[in-house]
Amino acid sequence: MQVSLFTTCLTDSYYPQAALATVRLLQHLGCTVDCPTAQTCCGQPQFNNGLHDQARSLARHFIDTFQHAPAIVSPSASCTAMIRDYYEQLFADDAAYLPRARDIIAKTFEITEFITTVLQPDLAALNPRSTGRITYHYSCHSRGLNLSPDVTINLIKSIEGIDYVPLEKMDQCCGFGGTFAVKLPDVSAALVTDKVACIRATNADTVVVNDGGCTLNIAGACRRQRLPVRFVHVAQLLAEALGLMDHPGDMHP
Amino acid sequence: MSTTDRQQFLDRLRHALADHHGDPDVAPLTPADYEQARLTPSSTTPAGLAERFTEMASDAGMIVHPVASTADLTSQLTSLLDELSISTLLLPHDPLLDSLALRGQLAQRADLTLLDLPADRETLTEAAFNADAALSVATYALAETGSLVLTASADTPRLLSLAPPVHLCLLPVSRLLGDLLDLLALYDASALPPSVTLVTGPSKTADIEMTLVQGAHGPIAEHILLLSNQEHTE
Amino acid sequence: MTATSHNKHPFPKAIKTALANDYLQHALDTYPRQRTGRVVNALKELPDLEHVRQQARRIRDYSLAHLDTLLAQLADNLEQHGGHVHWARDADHARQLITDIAGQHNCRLAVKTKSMTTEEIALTDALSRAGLETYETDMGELILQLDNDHPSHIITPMIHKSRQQVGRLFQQKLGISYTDDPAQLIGAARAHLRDKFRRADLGIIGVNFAVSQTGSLVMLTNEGNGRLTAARPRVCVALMGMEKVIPSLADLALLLKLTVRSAVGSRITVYTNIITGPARPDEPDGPEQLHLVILDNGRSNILASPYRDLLACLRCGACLNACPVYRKIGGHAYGSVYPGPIGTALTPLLEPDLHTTKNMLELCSLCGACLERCPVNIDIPRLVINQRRDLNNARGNSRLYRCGLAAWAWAYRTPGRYTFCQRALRLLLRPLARKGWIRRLPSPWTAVRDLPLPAKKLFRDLWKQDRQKP
Repeated sequence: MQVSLFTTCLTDSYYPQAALATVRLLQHLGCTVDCPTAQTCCGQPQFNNGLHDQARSLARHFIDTFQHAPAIVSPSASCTAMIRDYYEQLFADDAAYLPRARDIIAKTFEITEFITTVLQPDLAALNPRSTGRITYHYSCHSRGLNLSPDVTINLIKSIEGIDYVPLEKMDQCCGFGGTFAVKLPDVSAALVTDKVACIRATNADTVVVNDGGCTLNIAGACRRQRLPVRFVHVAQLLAEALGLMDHPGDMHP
Repeated sequence: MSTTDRQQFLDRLRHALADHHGDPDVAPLTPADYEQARLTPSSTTPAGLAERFTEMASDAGMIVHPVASTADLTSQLTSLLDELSISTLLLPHDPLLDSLALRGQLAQRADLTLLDLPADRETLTEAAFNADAALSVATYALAETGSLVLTASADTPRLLSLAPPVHLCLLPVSRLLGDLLDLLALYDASALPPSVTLVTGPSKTADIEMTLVQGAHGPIAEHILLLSNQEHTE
Repeated sequence: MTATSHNKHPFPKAIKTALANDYLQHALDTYPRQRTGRVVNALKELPDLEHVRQQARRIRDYSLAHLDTLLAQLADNLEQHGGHVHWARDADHARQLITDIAGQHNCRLAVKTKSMTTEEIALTDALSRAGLETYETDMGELILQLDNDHPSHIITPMIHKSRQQVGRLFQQKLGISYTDDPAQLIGAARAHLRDKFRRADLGIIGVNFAVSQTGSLVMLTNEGNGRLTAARPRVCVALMGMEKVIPSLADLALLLKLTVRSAVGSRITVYTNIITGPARPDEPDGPEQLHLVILDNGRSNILASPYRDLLACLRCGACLNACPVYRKIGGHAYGSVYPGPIGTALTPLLEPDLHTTKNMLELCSLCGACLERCPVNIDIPRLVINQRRDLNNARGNSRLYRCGLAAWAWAYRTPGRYTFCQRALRLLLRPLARKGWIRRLPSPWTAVRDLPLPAKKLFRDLWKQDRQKP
C-alpha cells in the first residue's frame, strides 16, 4: 500500500526520530512510503488563534502538496484532527479548494489509527520485544479523531517483555494547547506540574506521548524537575521493539 | 402591555430564525427514536415490574415493605408506626384507603393521633409542618427508576407527602408502570393535573464537600407499602 | 461577580488567587473527577448512548428551529390552565416584571430555588431592594447567600467551600455551636429554612424544561426545596431562559434520562416536578397564582448567530467537570455567571464586552474534553475558535499575537522559507543551550520547563539521507 508521510512541522524540527520510526514501521508493515519535502505546516496554530485567512494560506499549500497522495499518514493526532475536523470549515466558501479539501480529508490518517483500522497487522506474529516500565499520556486532540486511549495502550501491550503502568489522570490536558501555554502560563504550568507528578508516581522509565506539542511541554517540565524519563512516540517504541531502528534514540538525537 | 411584550418577543425570534433559513430542516423524532431510550422492556411482567421497582427504589434509599394482603397491611403499617415512633399521622381521604377501612383500624390505636387534612392553606401548613408522618397513596409508580408518582388534588395536597419528616406511601402493584416513556405517554393521552411529582428517595444533598446527607428539606424517610393483594382491583 | 460585568474582571489576579488556594485546588482535583466517574457509569445504563445523545441533540435543534411557535404554544397552554406568561426582553425587564408581581400581591417573604437564570439577572438583590425578605433554599445557595458569596459551579455551587468554613459560618450566622459534620450542618439549615417555608408568600422557581404541548414546567431537585417553594406560597414565579422549551412529554422522557445522568450520575433526581398551571380552586395548597417569566437577555442574538448550538445546552455541568482549565481555576476566576467551557463560549455572546470576550476566549486549551462529555454534543472548541476568528477579524485580539502568528504563517508558506527559519532558529538558540536544552528565555515557557533545541537534522534531512541507503 502506498502512503505519503505528513511529518508535521513540530515532528520535523524537534522529533525526527518519531517520524523515522513511523516510516520504518509503515515499511515493515508492507507500505511504500514517500515524504513530500515540499510540505510545511497544516496551519493549526493560526487556525486555533482565529487567524483563519493565514491558516487557509498554509492549508492551501498542504492541499497542493498532498493532492496526489494515495493515503496520508501522520504521527500527530492534533495535526490530523486539524485536517479532518477543520479543513472543511476553512474552505466552506472556496469553490475551488473545497472538493480538494474533502478529498484530502478522506485520505488522512493518524499513524495508530492507520495501523489498527487500515493495515490491521497481526502484531503478535510480528513478535515485538523490549524491556522497561512504560506509561502513556493521552493527547487531547486524539479525541478529535475519536481515538480511544485503548488504541495506543493495546499497541504498547503487544510488546513482549515490557511492564505497562497506567498513568493517573492519563487523559487530563498537559497544558500545552499551543499558544495556551504562553497565554495562560500559570494554568499551563499548574497542568504540566500535575502531569509530571503523575508520571513520577508511576516510576516509569519511558513515557509514550504521540504528540509533539505535548512532548515539548511535558519533557521540558520533566527535565526541569530532574525526572529522567525518556519520551517516545508509540511508533518509536514499536519500531525499536521490532528491531527497525539503527539504535534506540531519545526524541532528541 | 403583555400582548405587545409577547408580540415583540416573538417577532425578535422570527427575525433571528430568518437568518437560518438556509439550514437543513431538523425532523422531529419518531416513536421508534424515543424507544431507543427505553430502559424497561415493554414485555416486562407484573412480577418483573415489582421486582425492578423494589430494587431501584431501595437503591434510591426508600424502604419497600411488601404487603401480601390487606389484612397484613394494617399490622405492617402499625408495626412501622411503632418502629418509627409516629404519634401524629396525617391521613387523607382516598378511595383506596377508604375502601380498606384503614382509618377505622388506625383510629383504635391509643398512642396514635390521626389528623385530617385541613381545607385552608394556613391550618394545612401548620398541620403538615407539625405532623410526624403522613400516609398517602401513589397514583402510579415507575419501575425503571423506583419512583412514586404523586398527584396533588383537593384531598391530597402537595404538603402532605412533603412537609412531615416521614412519608408512608401505599402502592398497589397494579399501578406500576415500566418506563418513563410509558408514564409520560399516559399523560400525553389525558390532561396533566396541575402538580405531578415523581419521588425517588428521601430528600438529600451533597452540597457540603460532596458528602451525601440523607434528609434535606423534604422527607427524611420514605417508606413504601407495596400492596400485592390480588383480590384488590381498582 | 455581577450579572452585567462592565466592571473589568481582573483575570490574571483571579487566576493566581485560585491557583494559590490549597483547599480549592484539592476540591477541584477531587470532586469533578469523582462525579465524572459516576456519570460515566450511569450513562452505561443507556442502551445506545451515542444514539440517545444524537436524538437529544435533534430534540434541541428542532426546538431551537421552532422556538417562536413552541414558546407561543407553551404560553397558550399554560394560560389555558390559568397561568400567566410574561415576556422579558432583558435582565432589567425581568427584574421589573417579577418585583411588580411581588408588589401587586403584597408579598413580604420570598423563598427561591437554585436557578442559574436568576443569578444571571441578579434577582435576589432586586427583590431585597424591593423590600422582600428573600431566602435561597437550595442548601448550597443558602450557604453562599449567608456568606455573601456566589456559586462557582452550575450544579455544585459551593464546591469551593470546605466543611470547616460552613461550620464557622453557621456558628456566626445561625448561632449554633461549631460543628463541621455535614449531617449536622444540613440539619441546622433545614431547621433554619423550615420556618421560612412555612411563612413564605412568594415562591421563585427555576425551570429545567418546559413542555409546549402540555404547557408544563419541569423542575428537578434533590432537596425538596423546589416542591416546598411551589407548594406553600400563594404566588409562584417561574423564571425560564427562552431556550428551555421542548415540544412533547416524550422529548422530556428522553432528555431526563440523559440530563440527570450527565449532571449528577443518578438515574433521576429525588424530585421531578411537573407543574401544569396554578392550583385548582379546590386544592388547599399550591400556587393560587402561577407566573412564568420567559427571558431573552441576549439569547435571540445568539439564536440569529452561527453560535446557535450553544442554546442547546442542558445546563448539566458535565463540561465543567471535564475541563482541565476549570479544574485549576474554579468558577469564580471566570468572573461570569456561567463558568467553565459553556461559560467561555456563551459569555462573550450574552454580554458582548471586549475585555470579557478577549479574556474569556483564552480560558480554553481546545482539549475537547467538554465535547466528549456534553450530552448534546455541543462543539465548544470549534465555537471558541470561531469566536477567536471573529475577534481577530475585528482586531480585538492582541496585536503582538496577531502579527506574530501572521509572520509565522508567511514564514511557513514555502518549504524554502520554512527550512531557512528552522535552521535560523537553531542557530539563534544554540548559544543559549546546554546539552541541547535552554533553561531561560524571555518567555513564560521557561518558568517551569526547559526548551529543547530544534534538531540539528530535520526529518526531511534524515529522509533524504535514509533514501540514499541501499
